[in-house]
Amino acid sequence: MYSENSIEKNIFVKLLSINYVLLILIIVLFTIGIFALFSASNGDFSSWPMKHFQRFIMSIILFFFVALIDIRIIFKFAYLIFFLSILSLVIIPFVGVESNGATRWINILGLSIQPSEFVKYTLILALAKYFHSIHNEDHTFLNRLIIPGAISIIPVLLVASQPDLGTALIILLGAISIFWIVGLSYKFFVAGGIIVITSLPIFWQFLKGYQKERVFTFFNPERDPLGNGYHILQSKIALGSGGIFGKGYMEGTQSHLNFLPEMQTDFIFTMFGEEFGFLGSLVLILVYASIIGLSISLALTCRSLFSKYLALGVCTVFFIYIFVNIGMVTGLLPVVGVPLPFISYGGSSMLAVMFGFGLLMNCYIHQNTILQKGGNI
Amino acid sequence: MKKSDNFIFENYETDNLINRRAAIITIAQGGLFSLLAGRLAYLQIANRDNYKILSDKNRITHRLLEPKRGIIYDAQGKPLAINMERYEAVIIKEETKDVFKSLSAFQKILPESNIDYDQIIDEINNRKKFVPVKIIDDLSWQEFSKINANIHKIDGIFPQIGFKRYYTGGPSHAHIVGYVTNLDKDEKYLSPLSDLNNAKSGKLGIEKAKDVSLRGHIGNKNIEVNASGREIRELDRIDSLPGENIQLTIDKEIQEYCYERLNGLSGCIAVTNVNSGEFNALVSSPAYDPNLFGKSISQSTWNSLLTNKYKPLINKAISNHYPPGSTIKPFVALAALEYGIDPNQEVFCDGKHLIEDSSVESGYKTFHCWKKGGHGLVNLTDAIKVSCDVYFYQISRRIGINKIAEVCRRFGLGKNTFECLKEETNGLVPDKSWKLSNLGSPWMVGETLSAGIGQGYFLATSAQLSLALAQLTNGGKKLSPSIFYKNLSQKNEHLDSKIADPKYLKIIKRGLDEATNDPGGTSYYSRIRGKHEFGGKTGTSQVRVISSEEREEGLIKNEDLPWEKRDHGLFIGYGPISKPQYTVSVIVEHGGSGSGTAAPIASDVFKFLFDNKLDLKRKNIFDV
Repeated sequence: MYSENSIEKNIFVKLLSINYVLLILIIVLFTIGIFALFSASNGDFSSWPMKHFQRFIMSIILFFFVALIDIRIIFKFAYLIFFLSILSLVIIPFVGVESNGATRWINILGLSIQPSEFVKYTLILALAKYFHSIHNEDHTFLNRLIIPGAISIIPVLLVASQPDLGTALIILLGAISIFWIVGLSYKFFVAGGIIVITSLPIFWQFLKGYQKERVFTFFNPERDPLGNGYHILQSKIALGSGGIFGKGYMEGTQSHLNFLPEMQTDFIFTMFGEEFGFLGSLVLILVYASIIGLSISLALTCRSLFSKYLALGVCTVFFIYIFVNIGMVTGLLPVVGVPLPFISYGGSSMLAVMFGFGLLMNCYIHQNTILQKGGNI
Repeated sequence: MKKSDNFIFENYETDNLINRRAAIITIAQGGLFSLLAGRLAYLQIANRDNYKILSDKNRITHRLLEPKRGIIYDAQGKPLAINMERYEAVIIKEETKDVFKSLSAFQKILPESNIDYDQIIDEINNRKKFVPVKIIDDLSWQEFSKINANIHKIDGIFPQIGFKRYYTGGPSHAHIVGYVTNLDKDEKYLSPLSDLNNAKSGKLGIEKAKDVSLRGHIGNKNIEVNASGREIRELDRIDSLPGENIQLTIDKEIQEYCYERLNGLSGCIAVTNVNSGEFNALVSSPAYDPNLFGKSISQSTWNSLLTNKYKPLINKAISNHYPPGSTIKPFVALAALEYGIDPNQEVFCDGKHLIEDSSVESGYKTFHCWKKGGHGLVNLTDAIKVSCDVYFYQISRRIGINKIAEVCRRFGLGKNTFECLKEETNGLVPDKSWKLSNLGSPWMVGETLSAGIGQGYFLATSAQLSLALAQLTNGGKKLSPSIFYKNLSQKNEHLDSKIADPKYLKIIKRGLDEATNDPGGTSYYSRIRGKHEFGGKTGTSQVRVISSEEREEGLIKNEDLPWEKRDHGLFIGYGPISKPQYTVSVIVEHGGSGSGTAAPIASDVFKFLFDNKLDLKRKNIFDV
């Protein structure tokens, strides 16, 4: 069979079968990121842009490494990888580094790594393997809902307790997207949605003023010491005053007069939008949309369920990042600390996103590999 | 399939199901991306004008608030240095895109103004971007209103009202009050005020001595500015703290009278209260107008002040020292009395005194009395009255230089009178160890003789002489000299601290009285007629060595010498004699003789002091 041949692909064939359009789009985004950080640092290449570049090089290496491993190995060790990432979350309170009132980082070989960024992908990996493995078994509440639900809720609760509700929410949404892809009935999503939407305001009513404040602080512990709406207002003013064509590269007055908080990380889109206007923002969103569209089409070429689940999950997580970030800076969503992939300054998220794309590319390269339930070939 | 399958999972063939679900995700994501694009369109297209206004409005900036410099008052509570409004135009870098364009637009409003572009641009580049930099200073009200009417056309340039120092006393107080000017280059890094465009620091006198307390503390405010940088709203402010007010013991009326009485002569006057040690006048002449320094003083004016041979920039009352000449004699006389010399013992003055000196051919050296024929027999009070040099040669030789020096130092000679005035000089009281350590040679007997009549190495300031005489005439009470007005509670009088035996002082005072009020006294012609109101000692100090040839051929008269070679004229006096209240010390540089130039001035000053009873007008500005 033709799938037999593809199993034996050597590394050069694998390199050739990588989808370079996707990689080029990623490099375009990264280049935009370098320019944006150069502006954010007021023209100092040696600070943020330089480090951003170094991290990108590391991420590219990680990407190729993950993409070129035999998918059977990834499949075989999927649970182990998930278990290790959970373990790293568990040990954070004991070995982690505290910053801004939250403990999220651990030092591995001199690198500050935020395990919660990777858990987004390892959970998808585990769920993909799980649903692949039970494909032909009986459909019961226990194996289709309770067990994967339990697997999903563990990292969500661990991350939420750091506390980092933003990342926890993204992990949860990523898991939910897998449930959607594997075909969980509409009814659950409709019912779940209705329950959440109706209970939120009722629940909110019972909160006292200071408790509401605490919820805000819980959502966003390290920022916004001054006033609740300040950042969002400044961000909207910056974007809006950019107009259609923008104020010009490095000319963003709001950004450069320090009205804009976290300009180099979560609010970098605002600075970009102020300097390049609506047209620039639209182009940027189109690049992201192209990456997602292309990724989904790549995912759908895979033959095994595991690959499809995994690749689609990666696409969805990537989308969630972008939507939450831009939604946040444009005032559509509450402020939660989510970076804009490839552009925001930050090592863990860059590595994690490229780890995700490495998995996606791995699935694409090994699209014809047939995987057995238990991980045997 | 079982029924439960239907309930949990959709009942489709797996690949179809995934494709369908993926399609829905894709559509949903597309929809959400459109939502983002729509949101951006709403912010960046539909509402861009609103947000542009907000963005411009929203610019918050920082302004420094200039503190008011402390006011300097005189002893009557009259202001000597005050702050007046000053109109200026400044440019703020962060408020304009093109500094040069703004400046040239400004030039069009005031075509005749003199704008130094290079200096302004240099200044702008050296300062923080929110700091206003002065374009033009000290505008008239007409110019200022013209700028105000047109300023909205120019970005980044603002009319501003600041303060300038005004000295009510003008030249008469120029040296003691001092003046302020822009910070020097090296001061810019030290002063906390240096970010102010109008930062000034004291350069002389009280302005310099008390600069830190006078300058106050800088304030600042955060303001919201609109697109062209005009202040819209103040967000918060820390007010500047005005500097401390300072009251001096200088009396404006006395100071002004003394300055006018000197009438342009090169010299100085110090007036001291003999009971409190307060100085009521410290005048130096000629002077300059300190208000010239409020603006940028022109180079030619500055140069002419620097090169003027009468040295108007120097406070001669404290910064210049002179050989005290015969004004030292009362103190030498005291040293003699303390040494045990009988005041009634007479010395015969034949006009000269000889000492052995093997270095000259004749084997002796002659010291002359100022009076060619000599004074005949004189005792101590006579010697003071007629200022007999030979008498003082003889007693100096007996008591030795170290005793003279000890008494002079005890009365405040040879050290700074005021500790705070930076430009003060400490004069010089020579003695044996001084000469050995400074000149490296042993003391000579002849030098004791010179010192005994206030010549040789001896140097003193007018202020020192005035203070020394005050302590001699107040019955020997030790004074702490002061130019700062003190509260009664602060007055720390050393009532019991006597620095000399009153019975000796009485003898010396009699000599001073006779010198002025008895016929034959050196300042008899300057006495206040009919009353014994002041007594004092003249002094004429040589600034050149008189050679023996000149002495043979007859002394060259002072009027025939060039100005800078003429003798200094000195006078120190106290009054009223019955109950001493003031001492006055007058030095007229190269004025000829003390009796001819300095004593008449001192006499008029005493008359002014007695007639006006100014001590009754003293008012403490802090006692309210």
